Order: sequence, then structure tokens, then C-alpha cells
Amino acid sequence: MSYPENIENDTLIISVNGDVDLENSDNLREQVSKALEANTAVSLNMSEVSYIDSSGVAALIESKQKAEEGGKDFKIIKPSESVISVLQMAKLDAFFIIEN
Amino acid sequence: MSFKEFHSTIKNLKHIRQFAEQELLKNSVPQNIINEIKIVIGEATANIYKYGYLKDEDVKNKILAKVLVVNDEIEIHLFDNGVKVDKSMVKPRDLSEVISNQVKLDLTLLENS
Repeated sequence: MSYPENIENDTLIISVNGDVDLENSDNLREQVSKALEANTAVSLNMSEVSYIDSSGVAALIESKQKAEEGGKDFKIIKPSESVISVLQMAKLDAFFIIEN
Repeated sequence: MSFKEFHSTIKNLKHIRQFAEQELLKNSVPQNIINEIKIVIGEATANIYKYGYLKDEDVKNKILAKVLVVNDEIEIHLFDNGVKVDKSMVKPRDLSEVISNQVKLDLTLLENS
């Protein structure tokens, strides 16, 4: 399973939706990894994410690290309440570049 | 009290969260509280799946979920027959750091004798 993608202003936007948990966090990690190889800027639109667990957060952290290693831009845009509350709980809201 | 037994599969982790959410909604628990409880249940059941049953989806591997709401107290019980927790590896953490002031949380690990 892969999430929908589109390009806006030279940024690949991946629209993540539903639950991001142990079942599909590897898919997200792989999709972002491939996207970062082919694009200079990748953003995750997380407005339609209803739940995210620690495996999903780990995928986000690894994606950001991979982007930094490659000199790429990585952002989270429009995070849902579920996403932002988990990032705040994990004290990671300042770790990511987040655009609302 | 409501309870339901689930086959321990990666797909059922979501179904366990949904079961708990439905039961809490029936008891008029506010959605923001439910969302926090779902995070706790999600992490606990993922640990059962990963470390208790070692991701083995054998049909004998079950997770029993019980939800009990009495007045303003919520009890969630999760039972499994997987690998026992090595208590020496459990590092206590101040739960007030990670749970909002709307939720007071007690966590108890029980094991079969």
C-alpha cells in the first residue's frame, strides 16, 4: 500500500491517511525513503491521519534523519490533532519542521 | 464490563483499539480522553504482538481485552499468554510526563503463577 503523491512547487507531497501503526509504518518509511532519493523536498500532509503510534513516529524521525543526511528538505504539513498531540507528548514537536 | 478476544495479528491491533473506543463511547467518555487511552492501548498491544508473541500469528496466540467504566474510573485489562515480561528490564517512568492532567493512569503488570 502506498499513499497518494503529488508535486507542488518542486516539493513532493505525500498525503498520509488513516492509522499509522505497526501494520503500515514500514510502508510509510519506505515510501518516504524512495521519495527522498528522487526529490529535493518531501512533505507529508498528515491532516487525515487518525492515529499514530511509536512505530509511526519512528518512521518520521528516520525520514527526517535521511533527509538531513542527503541535504533534502523534509516537512510535516497540516498535522491532525492526533498527530500533533503524540508529537507533543513525545516532545518532538520542535524536532520537526511543521507547517499548518 | 465488556470483553472480547482477538487473534494476535498485526491487523487486529487496530481492531482492539476500535473495540475499546466503541466501549468507551458507549459510556460517554469524552473523545479527547479516548484518544489518549487509545495510544496507551496501542502501545501495549503492539508490545504483546512484538515481544509477547514475537510476531507469531499462530491461531493459539490470543489477546483478551476488557473494558470497565465505573463512575469516573476506566479500567482496561489486556491479557495474553506470551513470553513473560522480564521485570528487570522494566524502567519505571514518571507517567505524568506523558499523560495529560485530564487522565490519571495506573499501570499494573500481572503474571500467571
